[in-house]
Amino acid sequence: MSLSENSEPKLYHYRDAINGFFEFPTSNARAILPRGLQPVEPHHGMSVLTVTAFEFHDSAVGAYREVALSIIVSPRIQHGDAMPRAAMFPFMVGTTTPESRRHGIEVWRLPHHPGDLEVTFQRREGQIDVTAAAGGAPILGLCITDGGDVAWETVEHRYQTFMRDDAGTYLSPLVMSGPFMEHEEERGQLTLHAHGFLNGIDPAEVTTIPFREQWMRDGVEFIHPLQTLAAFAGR
Amino acid sequence: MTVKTRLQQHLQGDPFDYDYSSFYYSSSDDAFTILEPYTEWYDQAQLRGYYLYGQPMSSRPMTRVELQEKLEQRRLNLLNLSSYNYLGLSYRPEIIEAAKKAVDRYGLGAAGSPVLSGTMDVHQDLERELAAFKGKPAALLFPTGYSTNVGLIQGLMRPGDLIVADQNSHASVVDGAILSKAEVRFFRHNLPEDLEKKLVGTPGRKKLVIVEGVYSMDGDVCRLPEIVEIAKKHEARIMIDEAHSTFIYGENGRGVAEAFGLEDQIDIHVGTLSKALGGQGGFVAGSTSLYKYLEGFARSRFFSCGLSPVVAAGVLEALRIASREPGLRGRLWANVSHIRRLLREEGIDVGESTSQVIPVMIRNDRRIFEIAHRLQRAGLYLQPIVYPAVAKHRSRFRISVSAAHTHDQLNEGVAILAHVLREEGIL
Repeated sequence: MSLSENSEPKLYHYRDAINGFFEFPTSNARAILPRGLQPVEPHHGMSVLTVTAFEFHDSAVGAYREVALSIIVSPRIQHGDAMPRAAMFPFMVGTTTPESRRHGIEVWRLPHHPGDLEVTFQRREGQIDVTAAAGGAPILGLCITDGGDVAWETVEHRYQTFMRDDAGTYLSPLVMSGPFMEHEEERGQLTLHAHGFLNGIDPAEVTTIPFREQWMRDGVEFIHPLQTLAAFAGR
Repeated sequence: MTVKTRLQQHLQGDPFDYDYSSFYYSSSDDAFTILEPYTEWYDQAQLRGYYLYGQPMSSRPMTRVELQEKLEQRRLNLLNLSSYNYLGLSYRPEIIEAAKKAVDRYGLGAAGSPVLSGTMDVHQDLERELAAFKGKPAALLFPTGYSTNVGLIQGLMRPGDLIVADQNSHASVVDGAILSKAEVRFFRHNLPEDLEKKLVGTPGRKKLVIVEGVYSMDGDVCRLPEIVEIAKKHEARIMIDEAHSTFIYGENGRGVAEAFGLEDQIDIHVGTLSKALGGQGGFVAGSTSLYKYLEGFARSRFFSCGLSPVVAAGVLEALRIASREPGLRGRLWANVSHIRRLLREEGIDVGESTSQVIPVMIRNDRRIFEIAHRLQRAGLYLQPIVYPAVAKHRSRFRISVSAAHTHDQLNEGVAILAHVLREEGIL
């Protein structure tokens, strides 16, 4: 599919979307990011790896589950544009169906793991546990908690996503809406296994406890068409 | 177009969906592109509670202060639980008199870098007496506490070296580390076992471990004995910033290192003159060779005008008072015990604090501004502390207890606090 065919915003309805923020070395982040994208540093020398998991129940490609690794980067601000809450560069995505994988590559130009993943969601009181594996080989385990007494609020958050493929670098605004909770109580957990899915990340260099945990339930992801960014092309 | 409409156009949401960190990083073709969305957010955030920051005070920072409220330009008389001034010295008559004499003698400023024409005899007197107070061979004076850490760390560490600092270190530590271009690792707050992890596999490297005596946002005390043991094991030098603990902790007020009996195990002692002494400036206490080296290489001092001799003279008098009146520390600690008991009786959450810095945990980044507004209208001056100064949803008020507070004032402060928190459903 060409970019011109990708002219309509796309809606993805999810039951759960969880996200953990983990510190890892900026030297590692810079090796992954295209030239021109700047990693956001919570501490000098440390960037932010986010591990995100979705359980979509309704989309143009049906129901599927998705796990993504991204780096938090500086948003691109232009006069008159809406201010995003944050920006990210997803550098590896895995899904559970061939249709969703093909859709993610062709429409959103996102780098995908070549085969289907096995992604499990286990919901317990106050937390959700996700595992991802490929052909039985474990990739990661992510636990996100609700932070105890942290309030859930219905929100509409605007983000920017940067993508890159062989043809160029792109930007897509996206909006996440639904009941939302985030906290920095450091109750969650990440386990990364040595696996090609990590795509350049050294598991030993990534913190195992998220400094921020986010959770959205029964919400909608609304992704705007891609914009080509000439300035960020190439490495 | 109204401010609100323009804000909604740019921000597309509630100003509390954003914070200072949202506007720090941005990429565009023009450095000024961020200014407009930031200004629009700032204007709206002011109306929603950020006006509480930086309201001009028109009195001395005593236990009661006159404040010009920014929101409605009202003049308020408030019970002050916000100012540092831990020993209540900034407005002592002897100190004001010393400053007045200094302005008559020296004029207003140092009129030069301390390495050129900006060192006066009062600066040297202050350095000598600071060194004697700390029991160290030398103390080097800096114009501010911030420039002390920045200049010290940048002056000592180099690319290829390793700095391992507590993750709750002050911004001046972080900025000094960035300027030094050394590798920086942060260990989890006050967790010696994580410090050890960060030091493993670093033999042969020049290393500096940085901690604080009392941490300014949580009011907790450094686990110094374990940290010293680990740093020594890994042959790292140790620096302690006692900004909030000098003149307060230890038998002689020399700080947390004295309280633990570890002064000789610490390589670099940092203190400020703006907290307990109520003045301005900072100092590094250590060996004479450290003094000489930093005098030459601490750029934040080398390239700044020297501390005003008026402030230096006032601080010198404050140092003498703090040294000869240990009862001030006794009064401070009696006040700390008193307010802690009151807070405990009211069931108010003070986190991990054991010091004169007492957080009142609210844990709600939105509501804290409304609560702060109500506290101010009820006569209490307390600052809301929110992300990114502290973690998200660990918002709190920070009580700074002073030796100058009376028990009646502390009773009044806690009564106002408890009343408002109860009405807000926090208690």
